[in-house]
Amino acid sequence: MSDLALRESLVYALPRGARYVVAAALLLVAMAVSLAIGAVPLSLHDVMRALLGTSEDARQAAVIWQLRLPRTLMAGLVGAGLGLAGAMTQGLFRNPIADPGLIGASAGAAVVTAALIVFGGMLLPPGWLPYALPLGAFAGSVAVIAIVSRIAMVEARTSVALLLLAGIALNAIAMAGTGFLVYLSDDRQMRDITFWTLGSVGGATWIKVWALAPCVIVPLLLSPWFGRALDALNLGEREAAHLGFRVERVKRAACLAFALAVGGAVSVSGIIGFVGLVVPHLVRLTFGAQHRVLLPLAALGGATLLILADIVARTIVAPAELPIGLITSFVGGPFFIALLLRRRREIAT
Amino acid sequence: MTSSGKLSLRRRELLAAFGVSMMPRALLAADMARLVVGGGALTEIVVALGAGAQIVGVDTTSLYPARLVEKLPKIGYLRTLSAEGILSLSPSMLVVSDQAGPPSVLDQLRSVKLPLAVVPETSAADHVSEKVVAVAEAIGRREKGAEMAATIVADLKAARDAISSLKRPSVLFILSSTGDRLMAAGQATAAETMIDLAGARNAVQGYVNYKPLSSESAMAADPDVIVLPDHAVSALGGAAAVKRLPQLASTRAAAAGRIVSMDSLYLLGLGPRIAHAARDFAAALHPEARLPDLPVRAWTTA
Repeated sequence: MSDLALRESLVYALPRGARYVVAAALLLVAMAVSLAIGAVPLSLHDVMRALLGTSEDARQAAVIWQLRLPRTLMAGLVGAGLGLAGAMTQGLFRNPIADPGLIGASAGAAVVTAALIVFGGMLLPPGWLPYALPLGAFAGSVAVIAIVSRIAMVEARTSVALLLLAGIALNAIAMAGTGFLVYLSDDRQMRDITFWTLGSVGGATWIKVWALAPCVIVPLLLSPWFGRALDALNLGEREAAHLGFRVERVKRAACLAFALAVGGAVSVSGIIGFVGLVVPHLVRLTFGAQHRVLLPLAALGGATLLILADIVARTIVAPAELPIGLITSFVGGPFFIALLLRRRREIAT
Repeated sequence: MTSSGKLSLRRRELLAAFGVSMMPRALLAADMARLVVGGGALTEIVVALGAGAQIVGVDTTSLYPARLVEKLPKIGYLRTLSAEGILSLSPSMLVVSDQAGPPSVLDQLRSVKLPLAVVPETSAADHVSEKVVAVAEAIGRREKGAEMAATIVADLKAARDAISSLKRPSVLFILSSTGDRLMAAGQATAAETMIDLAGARNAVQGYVNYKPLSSESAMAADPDVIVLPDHAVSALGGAAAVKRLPQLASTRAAAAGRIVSMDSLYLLGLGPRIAHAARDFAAALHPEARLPDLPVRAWTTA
């Protein structure tokens, strides 16, 4: 126990820059492992040669360049988007159990996806559905966040309480819509909907990676600014205004940023639970942080966690694979409880 | 049910689908090809064509012949395939139903130049022989396939001839049950195809696919016979318990005790055993009739 306390105090004692270095190093290790491990057995030597373009085996090169590399990058981007969005929602609502799903972001994506799965075959020309699905999910997610923030606007001010309540209502409506579509669906469509809600980064392609990258990287680049603003908001809205922050602009920009990050993540991967909720807590508990440190670290942590979860998802039942949402919750849940148990005295007070 | 115009359209689609797979196949001796198969009926067909030993992996809907498939690596559910998982079996060809997915994984497999044979599947009975031809073409066993398809067409005709003169009872087909919620087959289902083929009519009209059945709609349908898969009967606690279910208790079928149960894979597989399944189903629905047995085939005795 004292040993643990010592180790943790060492982490706390690290200068801020060093925390980023530790988090980035963990991410790089996870990415390297992700490239090296998979259902197709490749030696480290094969992987290196494929990466450097000196491989003579076309199939090995294809496994690395067409499958593992885009998949690793997409898992990282999705995880970063979810971790960042989670940390921002918790900061904005000043509520530790908030996550982007709470205001309907994933339910909105789910209802549009389910509608496309059930009716897309009838309404769209053949071959369009694979492109329509991510765009539709993105639109559904962003639309719900837009409606919720519109409802929460009272006399040009966004009420955080209304945001939460309207989010819960829209969540219920979207879930009912999805339920109705499940009722209309046939057996195959129902399975598609179910698996979509369990998440996967198995369909990663370079196009998806490029489409997702700006959705995550733009909010990430803004995160130091958001961090300072959210730290000020934690003191109270009036206090933040006195400190020179335009509170309304911060709230609106935050909604926009996490609509982008969550919409992007959900559109390519389906619903991956747990990451947005817990990664910020993991970062807080291990690195102990204010928002300006928390936001970038939550993004790095989310990326690392999701890449590791995906390694498990695609190897544990190979040649088949498990939905990644199951792994994040199965592995992350107990780990989180263990952390809570160790530090519950601090948290309770 | 299927008009001849529709049939020839199907055939053209099939040929188009196979244009893609011809080229790489020419490079391989047919007997050397390592096959990964996705789709229960397609696996049955590949085995019936004598290529069972070449199969190196199947999806989780491939359950027959059990003796062969249970030893094979499973590539997961047909619609949640994994590109790298499939590649790890070093296949030289992937034979899948057009239900296979997700599309992005099929794209990934195309991008690594794995030959794909995508075989269209419908719930039409006459489509089975076309699937046989398509699979045979893909795996380089065209002659064997033509022979087998002709045999299936002949068996189907024999079964239809024997059944055509029988009276057509109305049948309620229950696919599964969750507690006391029953899922009944509507239009455009494999169950309806088999009901038609077996000389009966679907008691449920007015919706497609499988939907929860209410007490009132069961009463309105008032079937002569209730059909369930074996696993649903045992889940509900036996035929006697089925008769007593509140939704079903007041139907003619329950009063007369006419509950029929069959192996769902055999009955609904829409694979090469379809004619035999139709004949056996018809025999169960028409206990008074004496239906001749169909000749035993290689694919019905696995």
